[in-house]
Amino acid sequence: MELKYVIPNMEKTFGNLEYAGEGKVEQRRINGRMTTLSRSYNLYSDIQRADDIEVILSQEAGEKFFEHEEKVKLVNARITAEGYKIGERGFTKYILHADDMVKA
Amino acid sequence: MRLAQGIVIDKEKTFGLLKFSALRREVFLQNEDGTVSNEVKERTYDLKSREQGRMIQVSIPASVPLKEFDYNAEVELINPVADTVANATFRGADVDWYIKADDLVLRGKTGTTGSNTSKTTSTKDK
Repeated sequence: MELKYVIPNMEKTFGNLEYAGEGKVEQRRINGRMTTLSRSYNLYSDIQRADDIEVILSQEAGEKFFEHEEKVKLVNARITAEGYKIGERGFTKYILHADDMVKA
Repeated sequence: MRLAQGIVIDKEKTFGLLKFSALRREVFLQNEDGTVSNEVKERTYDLKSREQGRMIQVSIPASVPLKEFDYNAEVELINPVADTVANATFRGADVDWYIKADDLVLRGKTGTTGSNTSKTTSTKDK
């Protein structure tokens, strides 16, 4: 079944989030000018310890500057899923979107 | 990212108002020789979700008796867990969400007051 997104209970799913650093910036050329579509940031979670958490903020949120390991929280977070395959096996990649990221 | 500890979902924000639609299927246990037995393992119901804007399917274990609510009766999920399965296709992989819950009750009538500390199991990728 398809779902548009799921909204996580942030406290139970991620616990405390710390800023780790900036990730990729997605840009596209629109009318000959490079326009930012979204920015991603890496976070550390004390519950999801396996990978770091990658959050994608839309361009409207602007650029974010935090100290390394500074505590942050996300505004209106939602999770979508995408698939990828290795050999003949499929795996799920979760993608976390948020409207904004602020100091906790 | 993998979210190995699972996702604890906010059911109100994710599904919004849920309305009962129908029993979709009964999943039967398999005998040792691989044939299908008469014992029901779980039942899947179709529910109308306002936030998702579509029908969602939710599986309830067979230890809970069959639910026969009226069409459009407002219902509530008890401890829902959402997870995904990924299937490799010829060019990538498709992801399907599935939802399991401990119980399905009429809204405002919390039958089983299970603890609200539902946790998803680790990702069971196929």
